[in-house]
Amino acid sequence: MNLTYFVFFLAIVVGTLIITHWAAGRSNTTHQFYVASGNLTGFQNGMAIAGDYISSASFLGIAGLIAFHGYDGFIYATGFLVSYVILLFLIAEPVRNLGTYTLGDVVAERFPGNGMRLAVAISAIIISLLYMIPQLVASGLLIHLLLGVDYAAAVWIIGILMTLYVVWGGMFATSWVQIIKTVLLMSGTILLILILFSRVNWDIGILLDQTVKNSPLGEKFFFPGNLFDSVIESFSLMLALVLGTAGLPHILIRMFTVKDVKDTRLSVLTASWIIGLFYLMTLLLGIGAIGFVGWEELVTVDPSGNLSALVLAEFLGGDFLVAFVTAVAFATIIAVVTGLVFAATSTFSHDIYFHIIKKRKADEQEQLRVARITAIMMGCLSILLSLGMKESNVAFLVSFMFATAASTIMPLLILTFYWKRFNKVGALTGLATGFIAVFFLYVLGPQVLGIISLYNPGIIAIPLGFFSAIVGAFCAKRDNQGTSFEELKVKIHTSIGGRQ
Amino acid sequence: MLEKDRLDMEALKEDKEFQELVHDKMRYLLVTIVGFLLFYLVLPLLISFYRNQISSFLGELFLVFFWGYAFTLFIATWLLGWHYWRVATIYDRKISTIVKRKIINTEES
Repeated sequence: MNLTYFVFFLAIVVGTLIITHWAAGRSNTTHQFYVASGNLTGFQNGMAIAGDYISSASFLGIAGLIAFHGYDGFIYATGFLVSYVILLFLIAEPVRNLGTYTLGDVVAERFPGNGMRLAVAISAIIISLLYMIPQLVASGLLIHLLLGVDYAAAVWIIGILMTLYVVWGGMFATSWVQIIKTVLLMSGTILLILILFSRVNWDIGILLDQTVKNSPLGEKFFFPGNLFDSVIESFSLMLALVLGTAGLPHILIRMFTVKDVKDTRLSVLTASWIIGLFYLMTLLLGIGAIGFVGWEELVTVDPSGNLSALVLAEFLGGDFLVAFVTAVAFATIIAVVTGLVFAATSTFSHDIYFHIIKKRKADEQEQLRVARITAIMMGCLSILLSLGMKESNVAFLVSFMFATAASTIMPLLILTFYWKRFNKVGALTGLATGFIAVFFLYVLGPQVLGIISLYNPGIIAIPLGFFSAIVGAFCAKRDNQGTSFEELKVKIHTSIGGRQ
Repeated sequence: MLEKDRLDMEALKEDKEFQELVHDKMRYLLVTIVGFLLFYLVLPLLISFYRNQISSFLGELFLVFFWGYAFTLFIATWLLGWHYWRVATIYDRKISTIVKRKIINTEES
């Protein structure tokens, strides 16, 4: 193992564990454990959201996609960013105003009752755990490649770390691990870009000429049509990306960690700035990788292109810079998986254990104890699933989970917040149909049986999720059990009477 | 719900002015989102279907058009975010004015 790599790796582990130790002293009540006392500022939370969101698939994968496929790789990245408009305009504030700790709280505000809460909780846990698999698999492969550690050992290391952060430090540790990751990621990427530009004497023309010369695509590198040859596939993917973010539980629960709705707004705005700037820099990294290093060497190192940014780092700054970028990639991974474990944990312990099993009759200490045990269970479950799914296609699973979130939780939230006629039957029908649709499209699709040739299920599953929820709602009577729609409107738009 | 919140809620939920304000806000949200989604989703579709026509029409500008579209998505995301921030602040202020007036009215009566 390369000693420089190891030192950087160790620095990240020790640094984050010190934060967790500090956070442990501030995780003594459920309010502290689940939402960090709602004490983060909008800007801090925005950084944490970006840290929660930008996965290694983005950092390494998108740079590789751009290096290999040019324009189309970049368009892929824009989908991740534009979804923040939907999140900001339609979802973030209602979630903040209605919920306390989980998505179950949010929906229960309009549709009380354990059945509804259970359905939302199970959906959130499924999405968080399944989204974790590609993240953990990618990180296992990455650490294996970079540090020479065995794949299984790499998954165990990251799995144990993420579990430790959540068990000891709760939302405080999770947030600060994510904030630090964002700072490292942005500064690391800026550093790479600066070195890149200094190499071409700050003349982007030279870089573009080099790219045309070194890419097998030649001039076509800058034209669309290199990655997506099917219109339906690309449309389906774009739809899933733009609507999916608003249905990802680990992003949505971050809306609870600030003191008021104004800070929620600021959080999403900050996140969209950071994520946008990041993808613009990724474009330069991708172009730099193909322009400087050249296609042949990139393919020799890694045919999938995922290591393009690291190969570029080696070209620009040698071993030391690679060690730094590796550490950044490592921090990127742990921040995302920690966020995911946390989302699954809080959902199980708050919604299922506290509300459904104990019928809200458990004291603070018991709730905290169960939350910590749940975190260990969720951590182990994710590790075991990831060990068994080493061969899975990471990029495919990530976009697939966006499609799942966009066909289940996203329609549920939109219709719950904005449609007067919506009711429990509609909500449950929508959730169930969304999951069944993506499951069947997956089984029938090219990944398993190959009966239909659609990789991205969004184009069918998302409209079906909405449609079935609407039909379900019309098939049942109006639901007057919970908060009336007039009251819900007041809660959503004014913060009056919502969360305590 | 807290007692104060309950009074505010009762005062607001039937209030016509509040309903209109929410209606306005919803229309702003909906129009913006639908417009933005159309721009993001439909433009690439048109390009795929009419690629040859567009490229012969635009000639050299074809490349500028594509990259313009991609960068406009970034700029649009940021500008819309900024615009929403301003609009939402104005609505917040208007709503809190209504709440205050309602509470004074309730107390007087």
